[in-house]
Amino acid sequence: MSIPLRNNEKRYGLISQLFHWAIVALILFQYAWAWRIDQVEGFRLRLELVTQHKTVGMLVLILAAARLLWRLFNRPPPLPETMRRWERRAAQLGHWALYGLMLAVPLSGWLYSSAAGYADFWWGPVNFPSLIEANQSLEDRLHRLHQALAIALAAVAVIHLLAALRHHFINKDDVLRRMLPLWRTRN
Amino acid sequence: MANKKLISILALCFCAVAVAVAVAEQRCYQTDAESGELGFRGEAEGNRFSGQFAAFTVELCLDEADPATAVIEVTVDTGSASVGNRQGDEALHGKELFNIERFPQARWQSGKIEKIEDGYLAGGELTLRGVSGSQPVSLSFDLDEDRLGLSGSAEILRIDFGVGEGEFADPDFIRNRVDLHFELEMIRRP
Repeated sequence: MSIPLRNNEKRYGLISQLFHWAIVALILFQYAWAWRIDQVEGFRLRLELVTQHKTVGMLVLILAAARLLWRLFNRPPPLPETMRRWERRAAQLGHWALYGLMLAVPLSGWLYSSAAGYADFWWGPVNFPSLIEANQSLEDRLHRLHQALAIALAAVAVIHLLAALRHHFINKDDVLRRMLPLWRTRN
Repeated sequence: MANKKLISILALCFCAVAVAVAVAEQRCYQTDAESGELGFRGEAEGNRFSGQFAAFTVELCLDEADPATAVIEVTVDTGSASVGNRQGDEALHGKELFNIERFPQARWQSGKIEKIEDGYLAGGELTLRGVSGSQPVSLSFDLDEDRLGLSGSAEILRIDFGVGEGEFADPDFIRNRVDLHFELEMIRRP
């Protein structure tokens, strides 16, 4: 049995899974690049890394928006009956926090880049406009905001990961498996 | 005899008046960053960037009948250059690019000016970062009674003037050609 395109009652479909794992990979890349940007010596390499970080960030923003739309028209499989009320609330809150941050982190980065006067620097042929005028005090504040949101995203993502592992190893339900590209579901 | 002397004196007077008129036709103008714009465009890693100089002076004298007689001197404070972002400005002012501590000013002095199809082409000498070299500039004049609009552009090959050492020496990183453009509103000097 191959993975269906759309979600069903038991598992996430191929499109939801692609969105999920592509965004996971790109966001991991973004943290690695943010770290490298802080470490790197030399103007050229820094500019190159910042340009790549910004371009991948815009890709995350576009994918996250598309994913949100897809989710509205293709509801995720329901949570297991065994989950308690507070667990359901926490799961719902966590997922919406992830969506909000997936959009807010790249948006704050776009604003930060605009305020820093780096609007012209994008990788490849696509150019995104400057959202605001260059302004140094705003640049500093947006830098801190971008960092704070990225740390918040990392924190919620770690909780999300721990929760998924708890479902798999402690609750022994299908919550983790249904986001994996497995060809068969556990009976 | 007396007549001849008178004629000589009259002739001398006419000459003096003629010279005075010729001198009076020479007009001088000046301007600075307050009423003019001096900017540049380049490319870094294939991305376009642009910048401005916030401090410069321009002095120009010409015979109003012919803009090709203009003698122009431009002095630019290299430390006033900005590309609109902090890291870029730091790099631009730093040792490897303008090196503003050692070379706080750049200067351009016009040479022969020729009329070309849609304006004038001025030869001249640019001294930038301690290196002097020939640097043509395209000009267009808009002459009025007490003001002079001067605009134009130049293509500077930065590496010829040593602008760019270390990682900035590579034209694949920062393109060699930098396009300078200016639009100046010059005021007549009394």
